[in-house]
Parts: sequence; structure tokens; C-alpha cells
Amino acid sequence: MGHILSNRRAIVLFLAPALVVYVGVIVVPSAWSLVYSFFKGTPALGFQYVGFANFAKLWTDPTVRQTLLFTVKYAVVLLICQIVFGYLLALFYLFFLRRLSTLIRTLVFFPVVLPPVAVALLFNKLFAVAPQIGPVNSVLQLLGITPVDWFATGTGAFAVIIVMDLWRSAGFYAVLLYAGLVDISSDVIESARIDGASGVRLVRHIILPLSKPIVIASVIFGLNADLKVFDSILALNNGGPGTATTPLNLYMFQTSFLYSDYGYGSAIAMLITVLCLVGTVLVFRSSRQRVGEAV
Amino acid sequence: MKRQFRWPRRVFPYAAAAGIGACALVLGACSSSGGSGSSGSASGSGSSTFSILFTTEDTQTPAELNKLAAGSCKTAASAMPISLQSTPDANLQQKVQLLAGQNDLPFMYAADNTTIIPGGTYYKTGNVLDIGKALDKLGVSDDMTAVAKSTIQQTFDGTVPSVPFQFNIEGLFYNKKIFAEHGITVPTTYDELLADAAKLKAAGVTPFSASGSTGWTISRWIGILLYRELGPNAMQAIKNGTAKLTDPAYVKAAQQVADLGKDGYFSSGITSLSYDAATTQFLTGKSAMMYMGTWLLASVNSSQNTQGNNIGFMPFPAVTGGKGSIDQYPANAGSPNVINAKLYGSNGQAWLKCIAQNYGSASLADQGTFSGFKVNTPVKNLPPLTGDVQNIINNTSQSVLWFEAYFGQKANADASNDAAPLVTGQMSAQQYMSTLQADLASGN
Repeated sequence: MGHILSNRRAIVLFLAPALVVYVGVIVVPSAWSLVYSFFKGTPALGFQYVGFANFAKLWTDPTVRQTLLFTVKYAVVLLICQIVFGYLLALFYLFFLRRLSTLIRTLVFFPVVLPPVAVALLFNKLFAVAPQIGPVNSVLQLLGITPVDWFATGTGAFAVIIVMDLWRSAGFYAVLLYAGLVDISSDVIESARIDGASGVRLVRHIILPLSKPIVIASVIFGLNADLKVFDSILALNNGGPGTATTPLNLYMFQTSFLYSDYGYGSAIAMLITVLCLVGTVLVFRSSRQRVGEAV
Repeated sequence: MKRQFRWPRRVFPYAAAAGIGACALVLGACSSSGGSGSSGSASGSGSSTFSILFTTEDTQTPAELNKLAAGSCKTAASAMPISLQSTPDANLQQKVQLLAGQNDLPFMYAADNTTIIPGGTYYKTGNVLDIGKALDKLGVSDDMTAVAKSTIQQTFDGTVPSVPFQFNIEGLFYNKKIFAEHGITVPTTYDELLADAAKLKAAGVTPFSASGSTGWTISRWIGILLYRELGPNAMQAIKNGTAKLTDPAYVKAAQQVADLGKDGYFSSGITSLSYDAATTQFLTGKSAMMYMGTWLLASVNSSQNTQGNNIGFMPFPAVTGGKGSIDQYPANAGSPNVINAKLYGSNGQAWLKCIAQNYGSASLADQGTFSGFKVNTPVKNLPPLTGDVQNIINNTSQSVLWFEAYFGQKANADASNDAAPLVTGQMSAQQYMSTLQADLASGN
């Protein structure tokens, strides 16, 4: 076995099929898109070279600024909620659930499996105010509050989006972080208990530092996924009202396919890539520092 | 032991990236070339299939064409059978672009206005047949109504790139019963209309129905107000550049529509109200009026309408002191249906002639809707409202276009998407018009 794995030719042979698919499906279209961003046009009429004009437009386009701000705001708020809720759920699974543990974990995880578009349509009807009042507004009415048109304002729509995406993904982060918590040796927890640590102090001084790697991994994973949000917001309210809740990804889609400008759309795609890269690097850097300090 | 050559570790990633980039550049530079403009002449027998690409939402036109294929146009259909393909309106652009890029556009396809005017994408690639010239060559140019032809020519820079399967005018549909119950008569001025709306609102009736998610149902109000105040050339002036949407006179119209929302004359929750929900609201008597085109007649004549003959149609009232007049109806010849000049031959000629001679009567008799073709066989037993509207159309001499007629794709999308924020106060009239003006200025 060692002989095969140290043979270069064998390694290349095993890796080749996956590498070909990876290059063909991920790398080539990415490079192609980068090339498109220096052109202007559509497949129907061909492309004209415009140099850096599309990138210059990124700086001056007010919609890009608005969608960029919204995307970052959305990603940060949602990520914090996902990690906090996921971590609390994971602690709940670890310390409180005994008999129904698997069942509860599965039920909480279930929304992750649902199609994002189906969930978006569900929440659209849940928070609706016309043509019929949805359940949420009915409850508000019962409490004596006038029904709110959640989707009429950017803030209201943002709140619904956060609640929807949190409901859909909290179970996933709960399971992910739970896997990390379970890895902590029970001896460590026992000895900490014997020493008198309990409840919040136990979590803060023992469990939190020991689960840092899995939290960092979740943050990186979540940040990338949240920065690239698309289908749930499109299905919920198409980024409305106006462009108040339009993320960068949706704006790129509209620019390329609705406004027939592949070049500028590709430039926006490059911006999203840079954004994800910057986010990941920032998280990596800060995590490296922490690991160095903690030990 | 033989020494193996190895790429220096640092160089390999760069070499690989350079290789991929080079491949991408070569592939990216491949593009389809342009072609000539449109003509009215046929080449050979052309395509042998009447392949059509429609939007899924348009159920009427394909149904009618199938009926013709089985009836009056049987001969043409046997030489060139129909093959239907549909795509949701939201995906239409993508689909048509994809097909055009592969030089695989069907015989008839739906397209965006700006792509089929002289200088537009599909015009340049030679995929647009001038229907007016084609009908002239077939000797049936009289079968297209004069008002339809002039509307299309106004929209498309003097050419006729679209087959007018539909012809519609716009105005205010109203509920006669609600008017009678509240002692309201048909308003002839805009001030009267506002007074009526205030009366209705005070009595707890929603004055106007409109859909926020299908925003043109709101933005058409801006268009008609502009035409009433500034005359029939209001939007032509924008197109020519002699006026800007940010001029005070134009912003005033947007402000008037914003005020309608502020005064609560539209239904609550308008932002996410769908087109279907809004029309249902009107047709089930939950609101008094709806600004809409006469394509609504298909729904009025269907079971969706619970108000029966209580639905009436009135022209949008005049604005006192305005340059426009009440008998100028905004008109359009439906969303464009283009014939592919590259596939037009003797088979297509037979079909086009048959459509021109029969479609007018067929659509009126079968669906109660109007087309841009003459009704050669008179239709009896028309529903009353349809009969009234037909009289109006027959007697209309001057039509005007609609608000977004000359807008590009982004301006069109922004006019619709920003309409609900305009009436809910999320966006000011100034901002609304500035956004559109910026889109027009950048050629979008």
C-alpha cells in the first residue's frame, strides 16, 4: 500500500478523474467569467473589449454599494445568530437531552433538508398581510397590535429573511457544533466539575476554548455560504422592496440575465469572490492568533 | 537511480493558471458574428415547422393558434405543423438569448421591445421579419387595423416587427354597483376621480386595486398622468432627450401617484400583492376601480368575475388644464411576437396570410379578446362590455403609448420594482425618477 501511494504515477492516476471534473466545472468557468469581465455584451451579439470599464463602474454604481452593504450586514447578523443558536442547541443536546436525544436532533435538523424555495414560499404566506392576513399578523391582531406589512419596508423584510434562514440552518450548525463538543474528553469535564466549575463557568472556561477549532470551521463555512445567499431571498420577495434586500449574488444574476450585460455581471461576480476571500482570510488570521495565545 | 525532472514547486501553480487562462481567453473570444437587418421577403420554402416560443403565462395565443390549425388554417398547418415551446416570463430573456447565440431561434418567438427595433440585438442578427412589409407583399395589408399598425410603428421606430395577436387599450375598469351604492358618477376629470376615491375610502371601500409585485400596474398610472398633462408626446420627448424624467413636470406625475398611496387609496399590503390577487380583488367586488388594459376582458368574461355585468370601462379622466385629452387611450399591440426572418419562406407565408385573414374574428369569437387584425367575420352575441370596448377601439383615431414603452430592460425592471416603494413611501418621487433617468442615460 505504501509502495503504491509513494508512486507518483499512481497518485496522478487516482486523482486525474476528479481533477478533470473539478477543473472543468469549477476552474474553467471561473477563469472564463474573469475573461468576460473585461468585455461587454451577450452571447447573441458577441462581445466587445472594454478593458477595466466594468470594474470602474463597480466603484460608481450606487446599487453595488447598497447591495454590498446589505450582503455584509446580512452575512454578519445571520452568522452570529447561526453560531450562537447552534452553540446553545449543541450545549442543550450535550447536557440536557438524554432519552429523546436522537429524535430531537433530527427534528431540529429537518428544516435543513427542505428546499429553500419551499421554505421561502412558506414564510411569504406566514408573514403575509394581503390578500389574507397570515398567521403571524393574526397573532399580532389577537394581541391588539395592528397587522404589519412586513415586506413593505427594508427593515421588516430583513427581519423575515433572518428568521427564515435561521430557522432553516440552525439545526445544521447545532449538529456540526455538537460533533465538536462531543469530541471533548469527558474526563476533562469531570475533573472540571470536581474542581467546582459548573454551568456558565464550565462553558466559558473549559468547553468554549476546547471547541474553538470547530467554531472557527463553522464560522468560515457559514460566512462563505451566507455571503453567497441567493435562492431564499429571490423566492421570498425578489430582493424587494425595490433593491432594499437584494444581495450581491441576486444583483449579479439580474445584471447578467435580465439586463443582458454579461461583462458587468462577471465583474460583480469577481467582487463576490474577493469578498468571500477577504472574509475567509480575516477569520483565519484571527483564529491563528487565538490558538497561539490560548496555548 | 534516474533523477526525475520536477517542476520547481513555486512555478507549477503559476504555469497551470497561465495555461487555464490562455484556454479561457481563446474560448471567450469565440463569439457569433452579426448579420443584416430585417426584410419582408421570403427565402425558399423556409422552415417546415411552425415552432413557437411563448411565455407560460400567455395561454390565449397558443390556444387560438391551435384552433386555427385545426380549422381555418388546416392547409397551412399540414405543410407547417405547430410545435409549441413555453418558458416562464422571468426566464424568457435568458432562453431567447441562449437560442439566438446558438443560431437556433424558432420560427416565432417572444422578445423584448428593445431587442427588435432597428439597432436592437435580434434586428442586427437578421432574426426579425418586418410584418408590415410581409403583409404588403402578400396583398393582405388591410387585414391589420390602422390603429394597431400605427401603435406598433410608434413603439418600434417606424417598423412592424411584431405580429399583433393582441391589441389592447388601457383605462379604468370600475364596479357599477359600488358606484351606484355610493352615489358616484363616472368622473371626467382627475380631480373628480380623487374626490370619488376619498368618498369610497371614507365608506370603507378600497378605491383602486393594483399589484406591487407586478409593479407596472402602478407605474402605468404615472404614464397616463403624464400623457394627460403634457400631451401625447410626453414620453417621445424623453426618448429624444428634449426632456428628462427628473424635470419638475415629470416628477409631479410620480408625486401624484405617491400621494395616492399616501392617502390610502390603494389596498393595504400592496407590496407583495400579486397580479392575480389584485385582479381577483377587483373582480370579486372588494375594490371599486382598477387601471388595466382590455386584456382583462378575458378574466371579466370568465368565472373569476363574480360581479357579472356590473364591471364597466371608462377612459382615464382628463387633467384640467392639461395638454392631453380624455379620448387619447394608451394602446399596445401585446408583448412582441416576432417571426424569424431566417426561417420565413413559402410555408410561413401561407400561415401569415391565414392568420391575418382569420385571427381577428377567431380571437373575438372564442375568447372575447381583441387583436390587431380586422374582424372579417362579424361576431354575434358579444358580452356587453366587450361590445362597448370594441366600439371604442373602432372609433379611436389617436393612441398614445405607455410609460415604459421606450425603456430598456433595466429601466423597465426598475420602474416596476420601485413602484410599490413609491406608493408605500419607502422611496420619494424624486428618487424614483432619478433612478429611471440614470438607467436611460446609461443605455439600459
